[in-house]
Amino acid sequence: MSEDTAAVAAQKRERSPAVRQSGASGLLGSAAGRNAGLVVALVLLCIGGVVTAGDRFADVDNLLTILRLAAVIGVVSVGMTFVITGGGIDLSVGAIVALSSVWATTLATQGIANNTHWIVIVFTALVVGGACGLVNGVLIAYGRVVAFIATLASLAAARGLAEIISNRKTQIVNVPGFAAFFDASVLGVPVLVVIFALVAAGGWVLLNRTTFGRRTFAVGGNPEAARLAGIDVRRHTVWLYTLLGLCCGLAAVMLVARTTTGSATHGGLYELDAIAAVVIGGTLLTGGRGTIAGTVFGVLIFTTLSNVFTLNNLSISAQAVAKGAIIVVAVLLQQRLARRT
Amino acid sequence: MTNEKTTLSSPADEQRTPLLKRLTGANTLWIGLVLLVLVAVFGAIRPDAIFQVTTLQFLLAETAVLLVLSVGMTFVIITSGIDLSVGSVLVFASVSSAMAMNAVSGGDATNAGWGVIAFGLLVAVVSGAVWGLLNGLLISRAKIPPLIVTLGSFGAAQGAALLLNNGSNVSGIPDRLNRTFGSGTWFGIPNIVIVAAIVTALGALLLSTTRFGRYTYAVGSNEEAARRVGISVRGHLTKVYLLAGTLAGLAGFMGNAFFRVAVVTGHETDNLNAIAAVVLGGTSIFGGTGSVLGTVFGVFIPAVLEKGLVIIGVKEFWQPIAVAIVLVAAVWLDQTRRRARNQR
Repeated sequence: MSEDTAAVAAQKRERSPAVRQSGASGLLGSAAGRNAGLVVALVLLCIGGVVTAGDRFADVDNLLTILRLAAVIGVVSVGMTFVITGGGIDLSVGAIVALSSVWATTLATQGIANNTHWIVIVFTALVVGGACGLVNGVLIAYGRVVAFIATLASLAAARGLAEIISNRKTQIVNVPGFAAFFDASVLGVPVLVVIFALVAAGGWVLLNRTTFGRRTFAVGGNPEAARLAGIDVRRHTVWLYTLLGLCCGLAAVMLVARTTTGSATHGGLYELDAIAAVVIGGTLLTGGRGTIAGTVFGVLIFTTLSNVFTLNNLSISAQAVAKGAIIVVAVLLQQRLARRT
Repeated sequence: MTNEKTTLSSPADEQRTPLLKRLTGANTLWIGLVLLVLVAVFGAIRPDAIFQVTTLQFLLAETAVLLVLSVGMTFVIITSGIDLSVGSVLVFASVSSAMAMNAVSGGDATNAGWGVIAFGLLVAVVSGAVWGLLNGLLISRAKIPPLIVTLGSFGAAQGAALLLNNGSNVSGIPDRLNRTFGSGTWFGIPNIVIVAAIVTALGALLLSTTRFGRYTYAVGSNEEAARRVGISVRGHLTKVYLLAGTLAGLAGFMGNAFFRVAVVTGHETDNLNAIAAVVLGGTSIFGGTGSVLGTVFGVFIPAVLEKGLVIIGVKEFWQPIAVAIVLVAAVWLDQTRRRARNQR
């Protein structure tokens, strides 16, 4: 009962500034306004793509390629949005993706999968990812180790474990049903993209339309107030990291499907890509404010950028420079916009 | 009269805390013990291999570059900031310095003299400083969170370094530089270690005995209070990131001397290693407390652990896991201790 009141209070606190800001235009208008900069950036990128690469960019196959590439890091970023909104950070996501991908593609797992059903691979990756997230969450919430350090440590540990299991070899997946399922398309849309869309939609509902989401905002905005209002802050924190771990497990499955391999080198620097996408999407690093739609735009912007650069034969190095500049400029613009309203 | 004297002398006494005590601080003794125990344990298992001159020389030389990075990171973290870009800035400085040395000696600087080497040092330090200044200005003037700014320059500096030389390593490091600073020794101590030790000592003095150091603590423990007592917080933050960038530039030059080549890859996790070292050394990630000596211990704990595990024959894959466990255990113990002290 008290938890519900807390959630309602959190909800009111969350909404009141938005209502004040937007005035007559209403909640919906303000949400669109928040993402307007991102939409403009994405549109500009697409125009840039059409102008420089023409039909090679504005091609259905190419657009699907962008979405397929965005899907894996997108799923991780949606999970990351929850953790950052809840006032935390997770540096270990790339390592968890690597460990899950390796564990799910060992000869033993593949053997079981071939004898029973390919879903075993998915299940293994989800369990491994979820378990890693759970360990992170418990260390942070109950061990009270700073999130930055706890997940920095599990980054090292998970990558190390992935190397031990795989013996630093790339593990090729040879489970027919698995490949067939993930290579398929639903009404012309690749399964990977469908999964990303489902995760993003589910994440949006969870963050904006459920008690869990409200508690996430409350915990991130002011953990002490959330605790006094009756929210079990520690347990909620554990759930947030476990959720992100599950997202990493799912991302590992998608990565294994896309590359047909599991490897300890998978997911390199995903932590930085995911944090960048979440932050340029408008989620506050200090917690208490987060947006799934912004995160999705953030992921799409970075993926489109690298696609446009690749189509124009520009090197990965140039992409890195542009990406760095975009991160800083986007946050700068957001701050200016936020100050004006 | 006497009354006046006592009131005047008491703050003066407070200021005269013994230098050693100020250098060590409260948390460092404890973390130093961890390092000692590690050395003792590995020493007890394989005394023949651990206490060999070459083993120790190698251990120190390999750690020197990270130590210089971590000294700069200590200042940044004490201001409650973070710098993810140090490894990339190191690569950028190392590549641009190597290319500059090659350029002024007509394509290949292998046989170049001291003038060229000094020029290379200047280029490395200045290019590091420029990135540091950029970070500092964006953080202090534009008020963008340090994590974001340095995440941006992490990508940008690495990318720029790759663009400079089309993504390949730069060779042609002067032989003279490598012979003296890279592989040379002085009474058995590698020269590169001496350089790192001098930088560390200067950093420790800067942090614990100067106004700059006190401002660093002040800004980190309470930015608003620091501003109100008249500290230029913006200016100070800019200087701190400038310092971190400059040291990353110097570290890049040291890397050139040691490896005889400007390497463009392999520094992606330098930032996290430096942060881990600083935090292991008892510097709070929330700012306001910390010491350079602690950072020294923090740099050597993972290094000794990795070296020790190799020597006693543990498979190398297990090292990151062991380091991770030590990191979490050390931070957990430190936080528990601090909480117990605060509750008293």
